[in-house]
Amino acid sequence: MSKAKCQRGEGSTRRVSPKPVFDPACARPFVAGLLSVPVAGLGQMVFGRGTRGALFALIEVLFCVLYFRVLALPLARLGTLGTRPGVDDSRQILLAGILAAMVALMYGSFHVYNVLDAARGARGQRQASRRVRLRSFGAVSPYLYTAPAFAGATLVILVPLVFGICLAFTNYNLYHSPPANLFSWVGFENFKRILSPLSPWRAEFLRVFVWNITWAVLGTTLAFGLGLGIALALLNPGVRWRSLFRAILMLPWAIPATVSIMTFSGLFNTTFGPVNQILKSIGLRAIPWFQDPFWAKIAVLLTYVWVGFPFNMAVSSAALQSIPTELYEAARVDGASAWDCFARITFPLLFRVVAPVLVLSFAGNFNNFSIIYLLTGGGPAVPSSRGSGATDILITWVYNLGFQQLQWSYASALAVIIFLIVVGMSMLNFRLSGAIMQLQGEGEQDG
Amino acid sequence: MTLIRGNVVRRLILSLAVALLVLLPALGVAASTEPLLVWCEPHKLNTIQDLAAKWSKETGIAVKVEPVSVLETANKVQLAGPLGKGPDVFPCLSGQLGMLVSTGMVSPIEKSLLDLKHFIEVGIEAATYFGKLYGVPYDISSVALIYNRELMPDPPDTMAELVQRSRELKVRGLFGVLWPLENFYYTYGIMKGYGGYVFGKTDDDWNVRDIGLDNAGSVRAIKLLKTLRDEGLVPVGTDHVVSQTKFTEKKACAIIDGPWVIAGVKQAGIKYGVAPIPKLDNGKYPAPFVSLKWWHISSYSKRKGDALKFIAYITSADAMYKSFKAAEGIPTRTDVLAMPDVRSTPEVAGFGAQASYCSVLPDIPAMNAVWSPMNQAIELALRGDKTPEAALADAVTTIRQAIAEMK
Amino acid sequence: MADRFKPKCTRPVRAGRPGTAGAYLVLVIACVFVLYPLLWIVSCSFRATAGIVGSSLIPTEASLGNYRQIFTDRNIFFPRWFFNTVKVSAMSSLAALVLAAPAAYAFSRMRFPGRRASLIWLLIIQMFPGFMAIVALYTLLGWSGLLDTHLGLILIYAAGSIPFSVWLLKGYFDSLPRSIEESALVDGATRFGAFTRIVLPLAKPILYVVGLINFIGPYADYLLAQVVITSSSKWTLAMGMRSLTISQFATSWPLFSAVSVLAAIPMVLIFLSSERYIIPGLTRGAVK
Repeated sequence: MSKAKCQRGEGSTRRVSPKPVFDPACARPFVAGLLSVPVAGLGQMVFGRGTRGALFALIEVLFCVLYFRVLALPLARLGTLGTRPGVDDSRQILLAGILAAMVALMYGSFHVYNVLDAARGARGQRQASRRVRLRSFGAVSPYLYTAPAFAGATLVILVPLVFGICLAFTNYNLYHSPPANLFSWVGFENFKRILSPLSPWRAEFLRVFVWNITWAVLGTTLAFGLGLGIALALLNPGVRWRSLFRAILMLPWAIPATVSIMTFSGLFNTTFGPVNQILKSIGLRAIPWFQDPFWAKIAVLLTYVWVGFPFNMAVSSAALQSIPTELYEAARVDGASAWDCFARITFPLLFRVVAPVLVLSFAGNFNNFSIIYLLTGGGPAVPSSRGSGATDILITWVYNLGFQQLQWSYASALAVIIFLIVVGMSMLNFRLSGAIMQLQGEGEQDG
Repeated sequence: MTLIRGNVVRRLILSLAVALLVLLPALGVAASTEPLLVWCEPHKLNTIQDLAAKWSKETGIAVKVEPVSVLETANKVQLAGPLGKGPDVFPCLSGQLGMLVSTGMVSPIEKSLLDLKHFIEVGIEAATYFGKLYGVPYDISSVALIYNRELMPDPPDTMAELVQRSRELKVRGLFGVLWPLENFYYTYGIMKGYGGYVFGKTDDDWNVRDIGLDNAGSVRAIKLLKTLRDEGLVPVGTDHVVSQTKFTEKKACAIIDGPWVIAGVKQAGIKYGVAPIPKLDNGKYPAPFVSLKWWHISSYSKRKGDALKFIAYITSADAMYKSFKAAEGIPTRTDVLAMPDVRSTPEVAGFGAQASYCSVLPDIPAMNAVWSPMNQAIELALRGDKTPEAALADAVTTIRQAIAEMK
Repeated sequence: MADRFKPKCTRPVRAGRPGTAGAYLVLVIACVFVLYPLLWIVSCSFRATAGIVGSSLIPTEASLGNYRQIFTDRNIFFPRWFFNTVKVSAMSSLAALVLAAPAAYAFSRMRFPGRRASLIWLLIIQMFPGFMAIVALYTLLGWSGLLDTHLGLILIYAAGSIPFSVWLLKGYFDSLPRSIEESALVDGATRFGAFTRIVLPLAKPILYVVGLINFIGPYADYLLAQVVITSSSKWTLAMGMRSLTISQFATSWPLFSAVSVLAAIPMVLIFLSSERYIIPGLTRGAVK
């Protein structure tokens, strides 16, 4: 607690004389905070905010009860992940431990908040005005609005994520699997294996990674471009039968992706597929779609664009609706051309709505397992490779390396590495798109 | 009046309480005899349900049958078992049994309680680990030559003949034989016929250091495949969908495939026959992998005794005969296979003949490391990007490295 | 003369101008691109034997056999699977909107500590390759007694789409001017009232799109459904379809295609009935 805070407190006068070393007025927050450390709310109760302090104390009591009755055991077992093979299930112990740790962490952050709150409350004079209380209630409402979403995302996305990350630090594989066996912590060993010079991962990583990025960038861009183009075309007031066009163009979204992908796999069959039959009938040579690395990549991209553009079309259409028509009218008055309208009005405003979608699509597409796996299986085989195919992306490759060989902890470690890569790139994307919007004067958007 | 009504109400409550007290133990009893949970393959659902109904009547034990794909049972048992939601009896197939036994998900079966002498030996042998039996076989399959009796009334005896006929048929725009060449599962038989092998055996146990996939025999097999591919007899892009389609469209006279296509072939009205894959030019028959499916008792089950009794019932001769009649696959009991109307069907005659020349699939974890490198090696060799020798040698190196990493 | 300088981006525009021709071109090409594989799927559904690599687009012997089989085969319960799928998808969509919309509103309109961090956190957690997620989710469902229930499936679908939905909704909310809400608040409306009565109606286009995305996602999902649901009475279409394959090497494509065609029909109906939400400009008048 710096002395400066004490000077800012209400009622204190400007000091002219040199500041004393120890200012009693500063002791209050310090004592209040200290009191609240062992017993939550004690600092508040002593320094005048009784109800609040009592509430906090109650929360601490409840947590202690919870801890001793429910949380202590799972937390303790987290260290060993089970001691009795055949009876203990390491996966369940890990998961229970994670949940208990999360609850404990939640309480921990509450407790820290309680200490800081006690210190803060003890500083100034009491302000019991209704306006302050209302404001503090208003300060609660964003948390009320976001709590259900937050809780849902935590339980369904965060907990499995932490579980997956933890598994990367264990030796969970075929030989260390329940019910007959236990797995235990092995620290960074999986990561060491992955990063060792001999591992196939390191040898092939660069090639697979470059294709992975190319695939994500091209796929997302092409699908979005097509979706946007169609949305704009539909926007054109001279177009009739709009509903018919739209209904047809949304159809790929209505068909289950697995069926579509298998259909494309048949369409692109080198010898028997209709696409090559058509090419041959107009005099061109048949394309070795799934035998040539280059053409396999084209096939995969085409399939993805087919499956993915309706979604982009729908989002673009919705986003285009958020642009007020007055802007276009004003532009007309100023004599803007169609391209100007698009570049200066449509695209920037659209981008604001759509940028997060693009970032998320990119991340999702980066890890788009099913389309690659179902269409090419990661193939065609590459002569110089040690197991990965020409269209393998990191995640399909990890699936082969880890899952086929039943090395789940190894696969989890690879997943962690992929995760770090994707997050890194997405943060970059985000900065870039935020930067673009700043450059175009969109100002406020701060993510 | 209130008194009377009060009395009535009180009596009502009392009688309800008594009824509840009486029923409660009954409820408790009912709760402890939950039905035996049996998972079975979807296409066998009807038969198993009928059998279960009969068995329930005889023994008084309730049975609940749920259809689950055999490709997923292992994963689902791993998830459901620890939570007590797993089945008591479930099926699984070759290639997964190793994992099930390693992780302890299946419990050993008391051999003495079953009448094992009528079961096909390879079915029992493949499910025996360290002397204990872990599953009872109910379905056996391997690939064989399935041919169209109208287009090819006399199936060729040797591979050379088949190849020659394919050349002649090609002129007319037909195919002699089709199968997914790059698929190691389908092609292994030919490699084995020439002398290749996956793992050698030392002291009756698989020796993962002894890999025969790059020896002279294997190379010769790949060269044969290359002939078929280069001459356009089995064109690029032939996968199992293509070969099945062309066969049912009568554009292919024969395919190398398994019993799972018979239903579709019958539906297309093809008059089919089944024969062993023709002899190779070294005089030996190709020996494809044999795939088995077994019934297992989950180690999470709390009623292993009842489970075993049920398995014994559904693998009895009668039950297997019924399954066969419902076109669910080839049974694994020698007494059923010997029955006249079973023996005479093209499937049993043909696949049965092929069964004399079959390879056991090494159901050990190391086997998982074999599929992908081998598929890629065959693909590269057939494309001409690598010589067969180089492709196979590289594949074996990769396999050895992968096996070394599994510990 | 003045016509030459009239920009093309306004309305009304006479039909036949170059911009319109360009639009038609784009649309027609896109339609061909879309329809070609679809026609193959439909034609495959009318065949008796396996498909795409068959000879011609128009099957030589078309038959309704597959469709008949769907409704008569003992092991195919198309109506039940269909009902289950629609139920799970619709409820997931609704639940996702209920969870995500208030959060998106708060992120868009309110400023509070942790706002920025939460948004980024939401973005990041979605990027983890969830190989082992199934194990964790399954165990969580088991502990809460939601295994083999549609409710469990719905909750996972809805909660799993929260980050994406929140971001998409927030982006759209950001673009709506705050003037109306501000004036409503000054006039004494509550925050929640402003949210439900002003912002939500204005955001119909994006609500529709997010609802649609969260409906289509679960519709065809197989991986999660087959782990959570075991009773065959609760199967979804995707699970039902998978049960039609006997082995990994035998898939009856004609049957699959027929089921897919039938399953796509309600989706098409939904698309057709949603004109108001996708035709831009017609609803914009509300701002004025």
